[in-house]
Amino acid sequence: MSALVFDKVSKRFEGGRLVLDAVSLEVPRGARYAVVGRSGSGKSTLLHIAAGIEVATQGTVGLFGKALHELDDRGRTLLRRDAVGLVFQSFFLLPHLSVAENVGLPAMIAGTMSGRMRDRVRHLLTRVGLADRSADSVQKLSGGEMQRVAICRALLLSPKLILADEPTGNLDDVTGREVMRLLLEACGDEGATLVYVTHSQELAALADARFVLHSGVLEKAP
Amino acid sequence: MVRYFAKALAAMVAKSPVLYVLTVLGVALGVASVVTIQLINDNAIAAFAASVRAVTGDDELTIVPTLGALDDSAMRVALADAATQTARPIVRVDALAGEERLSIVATDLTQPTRGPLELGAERAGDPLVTPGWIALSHELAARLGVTPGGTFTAVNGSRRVVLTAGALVDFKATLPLAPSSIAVMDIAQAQAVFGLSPGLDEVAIDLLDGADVLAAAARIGEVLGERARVLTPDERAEEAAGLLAAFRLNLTALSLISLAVGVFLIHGALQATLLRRRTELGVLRALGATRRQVVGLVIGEVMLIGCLGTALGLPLGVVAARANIDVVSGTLTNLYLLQTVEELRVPVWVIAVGAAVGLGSALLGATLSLIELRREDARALLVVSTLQESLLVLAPRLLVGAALLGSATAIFGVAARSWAPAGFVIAVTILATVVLATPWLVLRVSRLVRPRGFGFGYSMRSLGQKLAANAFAVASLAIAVSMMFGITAMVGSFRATLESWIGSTVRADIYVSTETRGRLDDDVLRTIAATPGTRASDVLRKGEARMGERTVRLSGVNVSLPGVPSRWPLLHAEGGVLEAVAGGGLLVSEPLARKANLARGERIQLRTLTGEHELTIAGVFYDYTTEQGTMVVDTATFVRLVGPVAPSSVALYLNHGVDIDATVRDLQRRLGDSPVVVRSNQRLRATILDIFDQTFAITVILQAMSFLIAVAGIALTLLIAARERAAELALYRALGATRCQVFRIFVGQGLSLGAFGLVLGAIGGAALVMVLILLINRAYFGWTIRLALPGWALAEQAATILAAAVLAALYPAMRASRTPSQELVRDDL
Ligand SMILES: Nc1ncnc2c1ncn2[C@@H]1O[C@H](COP(=O)(O)OP(=O)(O)OP(=O)(O)O)[C@@H](O)[C@H]1O
Ligand SMILES: [Mg+2]
Repeated sequence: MSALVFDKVSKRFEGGRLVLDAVSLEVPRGARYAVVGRSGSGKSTLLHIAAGIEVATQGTVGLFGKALHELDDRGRTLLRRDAVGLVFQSFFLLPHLSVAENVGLPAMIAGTMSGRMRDRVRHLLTRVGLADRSADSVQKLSGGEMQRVAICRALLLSPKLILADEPTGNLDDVTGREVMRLLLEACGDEGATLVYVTHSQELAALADARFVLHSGVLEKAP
Repeated sequence: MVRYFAKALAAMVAKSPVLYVLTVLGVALGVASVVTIQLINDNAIAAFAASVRAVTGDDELTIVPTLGALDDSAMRVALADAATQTARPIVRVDALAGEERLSIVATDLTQPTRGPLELGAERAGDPLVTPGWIALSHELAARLGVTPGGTFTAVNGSRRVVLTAGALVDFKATLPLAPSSIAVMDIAQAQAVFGLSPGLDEVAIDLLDGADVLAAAARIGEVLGERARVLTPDERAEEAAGLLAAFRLNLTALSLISLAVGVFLIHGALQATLLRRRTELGVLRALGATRRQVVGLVIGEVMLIGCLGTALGLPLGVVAARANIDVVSGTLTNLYLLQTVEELRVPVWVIAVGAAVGLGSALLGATLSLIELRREDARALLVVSTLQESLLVLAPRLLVGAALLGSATAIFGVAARSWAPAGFVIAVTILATVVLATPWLVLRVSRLVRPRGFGFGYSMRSLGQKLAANAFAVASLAIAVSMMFGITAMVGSFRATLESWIGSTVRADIYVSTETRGRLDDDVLRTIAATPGTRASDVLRKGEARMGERTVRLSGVNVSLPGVPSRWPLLHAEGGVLEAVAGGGLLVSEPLARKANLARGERIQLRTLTGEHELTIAGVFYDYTTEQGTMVVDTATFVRLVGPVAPSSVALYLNHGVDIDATVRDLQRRLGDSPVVVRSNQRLRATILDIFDQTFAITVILQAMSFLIAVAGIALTLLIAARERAAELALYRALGATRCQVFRIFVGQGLSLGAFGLVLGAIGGAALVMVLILLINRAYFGWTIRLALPGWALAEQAATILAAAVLAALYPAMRASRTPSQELVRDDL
């Protein structure tokens, strides 16, 4: 069973042009796929549809064997909560929470916050070099630091599928590589599947397969 | 820019019509609360003044006795003055016909009368000849079920009389506010029918056209000397208002509070709107809109809401006043045995004040945001305001608050004894401090919370976000709760104090008194005296005396009754006090002692109808029957001072083992149809407490207002939050929170807003009740109230507030839970 299956998925925003045009894609479990493409080509939209945040206009999306359109809102939400880790392009950290609390948020929502979960938060923050910042407000962080917090948050519940939207967009090359290694290790250690968007050829080269999104059409890159 | 304004407005309304409506409603509520209280205040006072002026019309001068009653010489003096056109003697009689209270004004109907009586259309019989001829208002006649020529019975003191409805008069034609209980009789008839002792309550003088009113008053006053005072219409109105002072104080305080609450609500409602537009305004500035354009935009938007809200609030206030006037009337009638307010009149100035409050606060709100716009450069506005920034803005305000409190306390320290309103200054300062401390406290506490899950703790934690809006909701709730708790605790303490006071003062087994302020006839007294099983009896006589410029009530009782030493709970208990009273000394009630600065051992001069007397104050006793204060002397002393007047009430002490209720029934039977009230000890205690409860019924309005504020503030804040925090909510949804969870978070926020308001309000309320009891009450009423918290009532209110908070959160929570996860993509956090 594949982790993620797109079958002729199209997306048109209300009154807008066609952003995704019959995209088909199959991501096997444990695979690491990269998506590249010009700005505005629909990469973020693709990830959001995969996560069930956006709904496809046409076509079907399967997540671990479940067809998203057959699930109701609650079903999609719980599936996303339990199986998907999301890294947003613009992080979306909550300013009123501390660094550690932002990372721990998915566990709070899932109702699984515990001593062990707190240890995991500390462990993840240590991995990205932010252990000493855990009590700080996220507003005090730099863009790159925020990005690392966002990645920790996505990894917290050891999701089976990680969808990362330009996870290294705000990072310098060295940190970017480090963060990328973290994501890839998560896949290696815990057998997670990873789909990530990037503009960097170098980072895209780390993937098992590369796809190019161009004017809504997805093509496999050589 | 105008086009932009229209477009932006339309977009805003379309985006969230409920929010816009709620903002307008917030303004309307503020305006309405001000209008309601002002109207009630104005109408209560106008009704009182009208009842004073009723029938005598616009006489130019009134002679009133210094003590007791006027004799015929006052009429002669009045008529003898060169400027006098006519003079009329007046006697006032309170009577009861069934449940209806009659305020009878008896005057000389042999003279041609001016004023409303001339208008009497339906007449029967002759005012001077037909027995018991009385002119009634149409309404009263209808309520009594009599037509011209018909008869009905009325009661004054222990006397029952038959009256004939002689004429139906529209008193309201000349005096729109005249109460319908006014009735008019001929003076000779009234004196004969009711068996009144000779003497007049007033002489009304009509001056010749062009006469100098003040000079005439001075001349007549000169001739009358100490016996009487001559009042101009203004002075009379002042005197009337003076009687109502305490009541007015209550209402004025209430109206000031309503004003503050109104301004606060309006300001908060608009601030929320402006806060949402801040970023937009910043962008406009960054794109080159001039400051003037932005200012125009803000003022235009705010004034539009202000106008809509005011237009809605004014009629709302009138309706609310109409609905509540009964409660106030009840308070008035109980406190001062006056007429009720029957029709609401709406003076223009009240409407003007309401409109000014609505539009003024709107402008104030706009100005404050404009100051902020000025201070920050265009770019800074683009940055979403952070917590630190808010705190920085708030810190100076907090300091100002502390400074305010300090100086108010200082003012009090210096002026405590000489300046009564000091208590109010402190009360306002307390409320201001509560408001100022709110943002800081909310931020602090919400940061202390370490949420373990996505539940109540998390709701609490996120209050720190959008601090300004949340602090507004909490502060307005805290103010409401402070007032509610403060007043409830004060009334509760007062009631508890009164209860224990009744316990020690109401000791006799049976009390006999009259319904009206009359006296007991001899045969009634004989019947009472013949009650079997009586151990002792005590009669109470009532009179008046002058002490300097003050008229004081004098009560004559038998102080040497055995076994009832606690009837006058003394401030400073010590032996020999009652012996001193029996030997010609007097007891002074606490309010009088405070107001006139009297202490035990002091010798005071009293002037009565029998002349000047010097008496020694044997002690000061707790008394809650009248705020004017009263003096108690032994019967023998009373007779020496006032004369052998008939008693007003009798208290019977029964032998052990005698059945009280059976004795009451037996006495009632033996008294036959004498219109007196026989009450057992228990009944009297219950009656006193009933009157107390009715007197404070007006506080219900306050509670309703607080409740509305709680609901409106919280609903408004959360509804705004549901919109403003769409991105945050969408993030929760993206991270796997179900709709139900988001719903719970919002309800939790309503609950935590409620809880914060409750805690802050409880602190403010505790401070307020101390101020009310120790300062305001002491300064204005002179009563000692022991603090006794009405735990149940407070707990009930607290529960109601929390329930209201949750209720107010339901709709916003529903809205919030519908936030789709897509919102995340469009908005920034
Ligand atoms: N909620 C929305 N409503 C309407 N149009 C949208 C919405 N979200 C995205 N779009 C449009 O869809 C197109 C693709 O957007 P998307 O964010 O997926 O691009 P992207 O490839 O991630 O670009 P970038 O590299 O700049 O992040 C854009 O033209 C954008 O305007
Ligand atoms: Mg993108």
